[in-house]
Amino acid sequence: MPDPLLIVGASILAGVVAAFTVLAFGRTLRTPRTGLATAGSALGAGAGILAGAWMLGLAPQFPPIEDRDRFLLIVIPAAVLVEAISAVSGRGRWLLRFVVAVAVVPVLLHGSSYMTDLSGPNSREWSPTQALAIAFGLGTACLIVLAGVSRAADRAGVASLGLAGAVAAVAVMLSGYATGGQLGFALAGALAGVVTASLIVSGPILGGAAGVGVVGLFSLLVIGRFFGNLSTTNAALLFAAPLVGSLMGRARGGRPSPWLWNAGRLSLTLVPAAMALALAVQQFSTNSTRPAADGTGPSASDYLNFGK
Amino acid sequence: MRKCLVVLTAVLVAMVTQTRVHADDYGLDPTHTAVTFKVSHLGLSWTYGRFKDVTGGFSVNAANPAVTAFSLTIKTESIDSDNAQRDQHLKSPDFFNAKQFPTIAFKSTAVKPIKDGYQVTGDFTMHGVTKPITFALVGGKTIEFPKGVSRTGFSTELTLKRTDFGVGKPMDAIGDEVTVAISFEGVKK
Repeated sequence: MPDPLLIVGASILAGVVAAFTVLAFGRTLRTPRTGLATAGSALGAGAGILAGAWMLGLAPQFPPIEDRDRFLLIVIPAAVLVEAISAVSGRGRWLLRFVVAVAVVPVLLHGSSYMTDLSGPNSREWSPTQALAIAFGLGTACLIVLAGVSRAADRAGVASLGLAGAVAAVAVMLSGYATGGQLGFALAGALAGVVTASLIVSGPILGGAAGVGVVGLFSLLVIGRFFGNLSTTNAALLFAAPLVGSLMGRARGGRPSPWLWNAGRLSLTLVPAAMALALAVQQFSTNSTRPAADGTGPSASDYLNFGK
Repeated sequence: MRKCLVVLTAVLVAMVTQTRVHADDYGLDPTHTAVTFKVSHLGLSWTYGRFKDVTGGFSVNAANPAVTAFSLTIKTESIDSDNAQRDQHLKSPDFFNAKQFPTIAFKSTAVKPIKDGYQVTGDFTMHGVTKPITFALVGGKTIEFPKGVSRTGFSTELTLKRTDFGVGKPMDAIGDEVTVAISFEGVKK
């Protein structure tokens, strides 16, 4: 059973590593350049996720046989690299992002029964054509969300991503994939660290972190859906949450105040996220153990504290 | 004459060799095959479960056990512990990762006759990890049921450490040692 204290600690570590990375890129330069600082935000997000995963005991194995390993060793570094290149050179940005978005599903599901004949000839669940269609379809959805979030990639936008990541973490854990879900907390912590550091480093630097955040959230939902038991509805609601929040766009000067405007954006993000969480809790309760005759039963914290 | 003797000798040797390597092949009868397991819960009781989709076969030669062989394939997704939530969790990457490792397999590499059965050594593959295991297989009585159908059966019980195969992490609430009971019948082909 997951340890809440360890999860909090990992989230904090993810945030600290992310923040220091952003500050290192943004403050050590005599005249900070936005491109480099934006690349720094991407790197900070990625480093934070990896640090959080390490503290959770989820450091990747090599070769990356399982989905978590491929997420940490391939998907996140690829997303960081693409965002860093895009931030510095700006050329081919959307093509590179499209390649990463489309590659997420085949990479995470590589060697699984969805795409490989693991139980004999023709035992794979998806034909090659189906696999290609699913990769392109989901990749396109990822790109749409990325485009929407990038439009409003300020503190509220990245915070929305972190919020969605934290809720997705709980939903994936409730779907029966506890260790995979915890990666969402590392994601949320890393994005929170980047947002915090952006209070010190001036300029529009959060685009890099937003790109890594969208790919990270997308990947978390893919592994929850296809390796856990996260429903398609919940996955869609959680992935749409930051996009819904970005519909309001960035705050403008004047009325309403930027604080109120951004609070509204975060609230909008919470609506689909909360719906997904409610559905996940309901599903978990339905599938849980039969209640004891007197209606009581062990709680999660009872299991956590067992043996201590 | 000499040529005839040589040919006759060769034919006799071939016949004897054929008899020595010939084994009776059996296909597993899924209706009368069971793979069940139990694992400690909190050190207080056992949680039981089974795998419902088991296939395989075996070859038995009582005169020459060296050619006797057993193989078994279990579909990981068929796990059933009588609790939907627990089964989902067991199938997830937290334990068996059924989508990445959809089968559990055993293939014998050496068979030795012992009292009441065989000592079987073979490669056991679970969660992508292959390790040699040895266990005593009891049984081998052959009967005709229904008429015209020859069948035999074996059973065994063995203990494995799930963490040796990367199935879940060490934790106090769920025992590391899992006792597996396998009982199967085969119908002669």
